[in-house]
Amino acid sequence: MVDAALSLQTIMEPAAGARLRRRMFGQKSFVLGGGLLLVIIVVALLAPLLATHDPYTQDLARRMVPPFWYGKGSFEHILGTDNLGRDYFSRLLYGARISLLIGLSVMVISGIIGTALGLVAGYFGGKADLAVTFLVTTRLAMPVMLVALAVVAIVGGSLPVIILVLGFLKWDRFAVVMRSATQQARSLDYVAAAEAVGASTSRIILGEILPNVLPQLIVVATLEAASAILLEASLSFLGLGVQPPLPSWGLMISEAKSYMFFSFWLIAIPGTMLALLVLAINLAGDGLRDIFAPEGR
Amino acid sequence: MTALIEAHDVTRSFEVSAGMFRRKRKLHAVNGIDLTLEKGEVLGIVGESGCGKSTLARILLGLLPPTSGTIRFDGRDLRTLKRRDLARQVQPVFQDPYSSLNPRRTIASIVAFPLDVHGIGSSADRRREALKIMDLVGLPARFADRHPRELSGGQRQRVAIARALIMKPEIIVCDEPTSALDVSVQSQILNLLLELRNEFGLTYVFISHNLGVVEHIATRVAVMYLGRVVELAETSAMFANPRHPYTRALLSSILTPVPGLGIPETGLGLAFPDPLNPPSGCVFHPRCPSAFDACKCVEPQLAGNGQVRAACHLESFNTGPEGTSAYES
Repeated sequence: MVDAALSLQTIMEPAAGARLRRRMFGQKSFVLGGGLLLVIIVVALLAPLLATHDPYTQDLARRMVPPFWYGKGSFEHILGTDNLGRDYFSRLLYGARISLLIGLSVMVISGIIGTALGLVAGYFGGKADLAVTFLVTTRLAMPVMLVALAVVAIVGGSLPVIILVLGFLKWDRFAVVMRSATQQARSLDYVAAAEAVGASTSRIILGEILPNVLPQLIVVATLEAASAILLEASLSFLGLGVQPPLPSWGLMISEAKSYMFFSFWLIAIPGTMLALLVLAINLAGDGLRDIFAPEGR
Repeated sequence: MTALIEAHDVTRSFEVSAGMFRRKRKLHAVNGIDLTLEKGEVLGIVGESGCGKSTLARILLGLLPPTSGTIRFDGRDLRTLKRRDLARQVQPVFQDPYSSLNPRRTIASIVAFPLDVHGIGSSADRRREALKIMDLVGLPARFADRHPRELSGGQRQRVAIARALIMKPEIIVCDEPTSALDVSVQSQILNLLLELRNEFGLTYVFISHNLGVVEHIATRVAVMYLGRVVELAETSAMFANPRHPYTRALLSSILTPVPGLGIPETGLGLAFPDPLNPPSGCVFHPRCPSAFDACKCVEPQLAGNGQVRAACHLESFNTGPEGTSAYES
């Protein structure tokens, strides 16, 4: 009798970790997106090991070699070479590093700025809220692309400049979403209970509110990372982003555009990778939201 | 007997704006309340929705500063008390146990949170203490590492009570602690509160709109209407012989378990006055069955003997029980 009751309980209450794992693997979009993202991250980290050639070495004698599935292609250059004879596969691997680095850094910088502003506006309300709302409106009045182009044109394009410019421009959605999520959480009684206990304001914001707005934060963070990657690609395509010879995917697309009608793969391959990466991040973010807040579906 | 809380002329108003360019108007949620709370008593506060009960609770908890008036806890002014010191004296139990517990924390960490904030004991001590209090309120230790969503409403309310108790406060402010619960669970929670009161000598401020619950638990009752206390009396005296017409209407609204009686008629009509634009004189006069001319201009003050006080002109004209017949026809 006692044994039966005990075993019943173990069936009903799996450990928290096991439950989380079951939920994660039950989530198709998370498994698909997360898996793809993981593959891209691993490949980017292991780029020096996986690359078959140096991504910067030019070999003008072997320009525009097509990928191996074309008749003229070979396994020497799996994805062929570009207009300067650089190995396209190796450049693609190193380009993944740049895209991921930009996505992550911009997400972190803008996430910190936007979340802090949103939490302050949502928690304190009143004048703080007015000030933050004004800042957000001001920021929204400036088109990201235009400001980024202007700054890059003045300061000059380089990886750190791109990261900082995008990081300081893309916090608006974090601020807006965090503000409304915080307002919602703030009106709940557990915040009042923490206040009544005498908890400090920073403790209430960081310990009580932030964990409860994390699902929304994750969704915005993934969306922003994906859009930062696309923005960097656009800037590089316009020649005002990452500067050659760094192998950014946007730059690769830009360099390939003149050969689009003769060497189709040059533009199709980095374009496909960019689309896949953004899709993977968005899918993973969607899945994560559902895992953290299944009640919000 | 010393007064744990002495509130004098406490008022809280909110600025209500109807739009960006409209004039802001003042809403007096709590309007000139005088209250004392003696050690060991259970002060029930009753009234309709919007009468200022919850605002009063938040003021007593130190969550909202009063706009004017003074509140003394054990003789110390609320304004000079630090939030943490106040927390050791007064703790809340809120209405909705679904929103009063942080969904991201485990039960043990919710219960131990006050100790954590005040830096009492090591984390092992705190957990031990939390388990002890959980046991006291009837929560088995196996709940310790669960999350609030896995608990029922009654169990969650026990968690909220445990969290309030762990600081060993003198006063617990219960803001409608049973109204979100099933009827079968309500009595369990009420009896738990009464048991805890006897065990620890707690003092309760018990806010409710359920008169049956208040009669069961309170020793003294304050009836609120539009931010004012209109009657303040010992529970038995009030239920036996309500003085204020509003209290009488409230008492007649209690549903009886006798089928066929239907919904009782209170004689109040439906119109709850606009709190932004309260009636002149006695705020209750538009709905009062026994109002006369003076009620429209002069606001009555709480009057009567020590046990029963009502803010009604009829009461101040006829102090004492023998005068009641004058308007009880």
